Amino acid sequence: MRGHEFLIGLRRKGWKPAMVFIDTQPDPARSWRLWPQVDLDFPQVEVLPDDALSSLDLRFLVGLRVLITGRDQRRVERLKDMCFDAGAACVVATVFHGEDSAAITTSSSKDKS
Amino acid sequence: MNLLKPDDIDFSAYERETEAKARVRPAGAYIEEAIDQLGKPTVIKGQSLPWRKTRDVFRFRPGEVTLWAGVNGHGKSLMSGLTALDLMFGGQKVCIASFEMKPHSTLRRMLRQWSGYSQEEFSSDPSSVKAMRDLYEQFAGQADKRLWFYDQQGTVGAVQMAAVARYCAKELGIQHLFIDSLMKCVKAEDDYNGQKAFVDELCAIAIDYGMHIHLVHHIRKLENEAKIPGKNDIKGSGSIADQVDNALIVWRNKAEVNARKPGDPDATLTCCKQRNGEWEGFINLWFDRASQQFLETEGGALIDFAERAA
Repeated sequence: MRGHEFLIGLRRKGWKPAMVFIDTQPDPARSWRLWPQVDLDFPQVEVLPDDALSSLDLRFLVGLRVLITGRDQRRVERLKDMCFDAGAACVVATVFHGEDSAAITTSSSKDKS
Repeated sequence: MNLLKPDDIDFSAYERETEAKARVRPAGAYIEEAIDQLGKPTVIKGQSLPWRKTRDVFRFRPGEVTLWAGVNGHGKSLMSGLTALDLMFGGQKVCIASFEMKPHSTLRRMLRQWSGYSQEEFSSDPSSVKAMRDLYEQFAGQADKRLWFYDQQGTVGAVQMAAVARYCAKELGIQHLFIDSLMKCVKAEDDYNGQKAFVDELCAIAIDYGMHIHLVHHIRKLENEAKIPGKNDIKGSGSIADQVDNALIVWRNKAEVNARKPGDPDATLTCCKQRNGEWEGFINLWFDRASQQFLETEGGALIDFAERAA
């Protein structure tokens, strides 16, 4: 996982963003690295394909709205449950299917906010 | 647009309160992932050493620290430099922090290892100078945006070196950082706590950024140089070998050539620790003076960096 360190720093300083995007696909644009310079409102976190989900510390999401995207439905769904367990206020998960990602499946957890 | 709002949670306090809960987890959380992995092909992560015979047995994995240890003058900087060259031609971003050699000296040696020629072999006539310039330009094309140097001679503080490591990983996207050597980053040879703290910090940085850190270090003075050193001969705090993920020991056969048995190598590279791999053992290597490369067979071919670049 990467891109979350700066968000943790923001939260320790007493700030929270409008929403957090979590991408479970490698991002060629490296948004996870660039977001602090581009837009603090929408942090971008990347969960790498070989990250062990069970070892991720997602406490930095407590009380935040989270949008997860990816292509591996089982992994996205599992991450959604983990975000919710970590105290996220609302989690929306979107899975892209097919070569052109034309089909999507979206699910959301209960909105606690 | 500025949608940053004052947090309604004291996040620092929340982190402290939930630290134990977040870290102590039931085994079931991990078993599901182990089940997911069943039937999936094993993906070999990381980069290999420059020699074919090690490709299936040893890897430099992201997030690890490798210790390159050896007796003074046995070629650990030469061998780690050859590895840096190989990694660079394999597409990795490499930074070299050598406190004993200036960047242009390191670069000159890498150019020699890459081209197989020393600068001295070329005469000063214009055609030779042009040939050498062409080689340098070819190298520059390959090294562009893949090779960096930390230009600092003498000593550097552990805190400053750690800051450089973070900068390399975060700002430059460096994947392999070579630090030559540990003793230039701590106060004294007997500063065991300083050594432990520095290596601990490097391990944390490697994990945080997924970077591989190569740390060059010395071996204690042995009773004779013919003895191949082991893990227990590493100088300084015993915790250094415990903390790093991999430990490689470079040994040079200093015996006169005519005093050797047939097949005796010029050097060995011993892997005495590989945390995330099964192999521990040694390989024999032969030194090619002209190119300053270590070869995997006696009189064998030079390492083909063009093949690595392909």
